[in-house]
Amino acid sequence: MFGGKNIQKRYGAREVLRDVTFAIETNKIVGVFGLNGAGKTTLLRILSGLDGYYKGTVYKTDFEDVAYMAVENMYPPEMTVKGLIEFCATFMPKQDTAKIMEQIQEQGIKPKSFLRNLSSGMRQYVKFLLTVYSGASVCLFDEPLTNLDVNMRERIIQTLISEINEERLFIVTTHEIKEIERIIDGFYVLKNGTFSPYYECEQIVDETGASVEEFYKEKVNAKE
Amino acid sequence: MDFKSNQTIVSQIITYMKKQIFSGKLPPGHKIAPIREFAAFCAVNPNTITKAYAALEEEKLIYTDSTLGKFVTPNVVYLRAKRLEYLRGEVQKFRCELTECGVSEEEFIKLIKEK
Repeated sequence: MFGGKNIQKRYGAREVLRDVTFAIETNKIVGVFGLNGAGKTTLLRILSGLDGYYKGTVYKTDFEDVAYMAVENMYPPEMTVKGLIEFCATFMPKQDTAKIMEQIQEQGIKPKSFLRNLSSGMRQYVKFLLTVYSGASVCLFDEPLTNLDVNMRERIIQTLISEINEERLFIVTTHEIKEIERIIDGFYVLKNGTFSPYYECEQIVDETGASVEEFYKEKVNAKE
Repeated sequence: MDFKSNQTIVSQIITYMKKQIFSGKLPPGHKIAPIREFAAFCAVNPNTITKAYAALEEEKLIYTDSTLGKFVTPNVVYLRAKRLEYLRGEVQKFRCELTECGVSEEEFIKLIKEK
């Protein structure tokens, strides 16, 4: 079980997260949807442990470790792809390095290339592979599909499907709801600094007859 | 596979599987795709396939062999009865829609026989 209790975060006077409380079981792919500026990235940074300045609690069971795919580039551009993969292995001991190397070469990315010489899409894909094959039981993906071509997006979707299992859980933020709705179990809407209740996709579609995207639009635009 | 987004994916997969079974594309006793393989094929969450298979198993259209995997039931008599039940249900739905357009029984039969 992975979750948060009363997570609060402010940037100066601006309160970004007012009260985020949730709990997610393993073997689930869960979406976090929200408009730009809703605080999705802020929340993921807190959940990943990158940002320690917040109020509230992030809780996880002992065996759970967290990997995080950030939007921004956190690695030095003069690092090689291989160097980056080896560097990540030092703090992700369960990382499947062989699998990452195989997938990278399948995409025509050379291990000796410098990160600065990769296209932004390729860099994003490398980050995705490092997260999903990190061996971490909790993987946080911030906008994994944005700015990628159709083939790359399909590849990411397929990898998420094949890598989810009883010991892991994936949290994905995205604006590409149509593309993700068939692979997520459920989702939260992040709005006004708090989480909506957990919406299970099947239940929503079954009960409202609306698609996940239609339902989300209604929720995110509703006046309180 | 193409899915409609205003129907649950589970129900669409169940229907797809039923069509495969009732049309004989998946013959009686035939092995069906493992959950993960089928999930990859449909590009959906494996949990969704698990639920669809559980529903089909509940209806006794498929069964699980603990070592060999999942199979279409070999019971041909049962399959025939379930197929008929399914087809009747579909015809009933179709008829209800046409009735809403004021189609009588005679007209309904006439329409079906038209080319």
